[in-house]
Amino acid sequence: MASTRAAAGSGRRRGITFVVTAVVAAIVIFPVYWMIVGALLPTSITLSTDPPLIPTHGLTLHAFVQDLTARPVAHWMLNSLIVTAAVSVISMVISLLAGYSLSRFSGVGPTSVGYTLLLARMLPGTMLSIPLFVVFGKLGLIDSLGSLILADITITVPFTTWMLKSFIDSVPRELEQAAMIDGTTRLGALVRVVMPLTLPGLGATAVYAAILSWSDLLFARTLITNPDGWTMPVGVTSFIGAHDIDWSGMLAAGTLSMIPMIVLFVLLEPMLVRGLTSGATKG
Amino acid sequence: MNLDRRQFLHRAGLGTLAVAGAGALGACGGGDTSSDGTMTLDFPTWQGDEAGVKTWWRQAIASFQQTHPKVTIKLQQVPFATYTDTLTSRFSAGKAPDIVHLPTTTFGSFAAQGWLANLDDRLKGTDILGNWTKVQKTMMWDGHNVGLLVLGYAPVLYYNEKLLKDAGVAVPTTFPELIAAAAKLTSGGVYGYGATTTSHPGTYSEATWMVYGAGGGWSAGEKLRFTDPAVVKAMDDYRTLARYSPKGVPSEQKRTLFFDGKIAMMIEGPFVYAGLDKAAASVKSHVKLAKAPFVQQPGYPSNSIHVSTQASKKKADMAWEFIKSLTTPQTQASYAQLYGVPSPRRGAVTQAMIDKRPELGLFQSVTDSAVDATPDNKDIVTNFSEVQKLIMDACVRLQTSSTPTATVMADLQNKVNGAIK
Amino acid sequence: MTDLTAAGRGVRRRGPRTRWGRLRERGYPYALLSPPALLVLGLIAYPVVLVVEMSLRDGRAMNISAIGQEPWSISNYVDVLTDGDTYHSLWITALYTVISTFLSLLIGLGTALLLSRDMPARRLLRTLILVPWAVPGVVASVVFLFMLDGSYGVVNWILRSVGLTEHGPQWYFDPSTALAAVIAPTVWKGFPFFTLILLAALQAIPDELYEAARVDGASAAARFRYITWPAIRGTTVLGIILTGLWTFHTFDLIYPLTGGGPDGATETWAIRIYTEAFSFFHPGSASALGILSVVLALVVVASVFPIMRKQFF
Repeated sequence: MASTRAAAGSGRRRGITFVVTAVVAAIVIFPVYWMIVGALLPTSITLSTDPPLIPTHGLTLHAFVQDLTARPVAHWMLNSLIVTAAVSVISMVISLLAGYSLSRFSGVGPTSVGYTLLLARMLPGTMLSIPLFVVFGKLGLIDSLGSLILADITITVPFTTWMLKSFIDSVPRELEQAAMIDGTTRLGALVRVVMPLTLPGLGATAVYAAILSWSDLLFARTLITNPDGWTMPVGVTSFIGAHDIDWSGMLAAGTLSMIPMIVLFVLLEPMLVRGLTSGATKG
Repeated sequence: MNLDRRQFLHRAGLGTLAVAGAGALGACGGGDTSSDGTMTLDFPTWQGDEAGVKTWWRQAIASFQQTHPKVTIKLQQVPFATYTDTLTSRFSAGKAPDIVHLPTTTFGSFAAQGWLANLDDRLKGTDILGNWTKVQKTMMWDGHNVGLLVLGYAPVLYYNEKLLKDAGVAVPTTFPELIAAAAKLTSGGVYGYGATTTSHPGTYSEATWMVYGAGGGWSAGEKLRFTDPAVVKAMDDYRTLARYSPKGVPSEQKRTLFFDGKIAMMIEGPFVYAGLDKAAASVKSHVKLAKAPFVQQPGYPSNSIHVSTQASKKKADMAWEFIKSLTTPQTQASYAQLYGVPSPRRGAVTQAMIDKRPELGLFQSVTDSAVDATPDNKDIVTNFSEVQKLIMDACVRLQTSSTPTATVMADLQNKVNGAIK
Repeated sequence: MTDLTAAGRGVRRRGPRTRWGRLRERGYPYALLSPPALLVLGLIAYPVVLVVEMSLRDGRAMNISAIGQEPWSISNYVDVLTDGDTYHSLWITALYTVISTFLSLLIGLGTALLLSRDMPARRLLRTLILVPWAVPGVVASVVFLFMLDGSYGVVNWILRSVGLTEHGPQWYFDPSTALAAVIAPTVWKGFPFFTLILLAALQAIPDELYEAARVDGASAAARFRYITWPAIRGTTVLGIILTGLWTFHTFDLIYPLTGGGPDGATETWAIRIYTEAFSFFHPGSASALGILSVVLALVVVASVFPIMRKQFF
């Protein structure tokens, strides 16, 4: 008897929690919803004194079709995908190596590199973009996606290295020592023993790096001056013309630009929750 | 704009190589002419999508390429909002475009950096200077022509005849009349006047027209004139007009509102007339033009074309050939025809063209009689973007606060003094 | 069995036997660190040196490769530090950073507490609430610009419909509301990071602790005070530092919206650095401001670093 009442009580609690959370989620997601509405309707309807919150007619895919046929949105998307994939992979490799080294070795070298990485997080990107522009100019890398990849890595690696370091801290040293005694090299032990145990951390690294490089506007607009090398964020801003703003086109491009990140997010999100906080929660 | 496989591999490969530390490999290409003697000239512009003028640029490029079969001119559309930043970056990295197209507002900063080539010798052998608009004077830097003006204009008064008639208001011919008309016309969801009422370069243009149109100016040589009674009065009038305008609108939106019949009057450049095509059917026939009610017509440079000092001799020569091809009477006539604006070449707009499009006659006559509305203070021109921002900020303050105009202008004068010293 | 033997052998032979082996073992940290070290040297240290040099050179040449020809001088620092706008902009930076971070924390904590409870469709709701984090900053800017249009935006329409205002604020036009209007998208994009890390921290708290507290008759407030808060404090500090630094440096959520205007109302140091360098051609002042902002960030972070170090590293 008592237990059924408790069950009913907890059922009601679940219900209330669900309703409250759903309302919060609806508010949070409203800007995304309104972006999609804005992409599907002409501005004469959405930018008016009486916009329909739930539009029922006049919806058209025109802006999307226009984006994909008359504007090089697919091309921007491809550039963004190249940059994002490269930044994610390189960030994972570098921060795994560096994080391992910071976790397992002490000494002046590793420590100073570690702290310089932390210092790098203090640099405003707007400041970094000036000298990076000079450096890449000297290397002849301006206008290449390579410059963008390198610039984005300077932002991602400092954080992901420390994140993976704390992750590797929780992997017992004995495991890799055992492997090394069995004849594996240290690198082999890192790849075969440590890496599988840090998969959530690597997943979090990949998502973090991907989100950061996918949304980068600052480096993309300073380091890439040729429209052929534009990424999605730069492309989105190009809908603001000298004489007018193509709202539907811009919002359609914005909607398209979210899709790859949402897919990645849904796939890797569980890893993200564990990965980002291994260090934080163990303390 | 499709990325072919080779380009893709090139780019993807670059990324990898760069990371491997082989950065220098990125510097491939970039020679002047390839082995078969062909040459590509880089031409970024913000006008590649702009109605009317985009056709003119494309036609000019096509006919140039026809007479120069080994030359390709690569027009790149760059959005206006990022145009100056992009060009600044390219110049400071030593990667200037071959053909340099500038909004005249940024001309001074670029000239001061020594980025624009002296064209005196090239101009000498041509008939250009003798036939060009006097606003070309703004292209002088240290006594030399470092560019060619593509468009200079004087703004005119656009008005909605029906709205004026309904309110019993005559077309204003003086500034007090303009203000009185704006006040009377503002009612029932209609705004009497259309000013740019947000942080937008449009406020700078409008303030400049008001000040120079009233016989004032931002500077008289060394001396700054922001606190001159005439300038303060002109800014105060501008402030009053903004009161009869919709709030928070950039120039683009106020033009749309005018053509939608929600604004009765505005002072605007001739290129805005092209927007009439998109006007609501009920408004179209009521849109009329008149000389703006200024004491003197402010002549305002819009944009100009230059040769970069970073270009190789060969490319600079070819870029000049292209610029020269833009100045022929036929090309200039088609500029006026396609874009609907006065052409900088005198006599390019013929009576026959005016008969067909009467507005061209008005545009041309106000431009011909205009005084130069660019500050004559070299420090202002050199630090233009900073001064422009300060003036824009002052306009926002005038429109959103109740601080007396004289106080705002005194503060502005101090700030400009600080910025240019 | 084999494991035991291996471990036993490991104890006996700690470290490599040969000299080469020892050398190689000592070289490992450097070999493993060389990619990030190269990155640090080439892409962080060298640019920083360049910025320091630019900040100490007089003159305003934008041909930065030729900056070495200008004379040494501290005039850039003098200019920046004697300019009243610098302090106005510092105040804006402080307001923007503190308010954005605080609101992100509040909303992040609230949503994390909600999502840590049992409910139907939890995974879906969690994903929906985290989505803004994945939206590129410039896209977020564009959407808010669209929604907060003074005359025709949907937000003002909602405000008018429920009778809160007659006309609605001119969000990005009016200097008194512009800062709030750029904080809104910043918080929207920033809070899910707090949700994410706090959620993980909450989930790591053993349920038994709450059970025991309930048995002892502890109130909800007491349970939060004595169980939840100690468990998430470290994560909270970490989140504040990371989000604080992120907002301190934000470019893409301010520049596309207001460019720092109207009348400087949203001009943070990060925006000022960009404008000084790329619009005003003052690479020297921009660099000086950049160096000052690094110092400022270091001082602020160093004062909370001991807590962060204990909890995170």
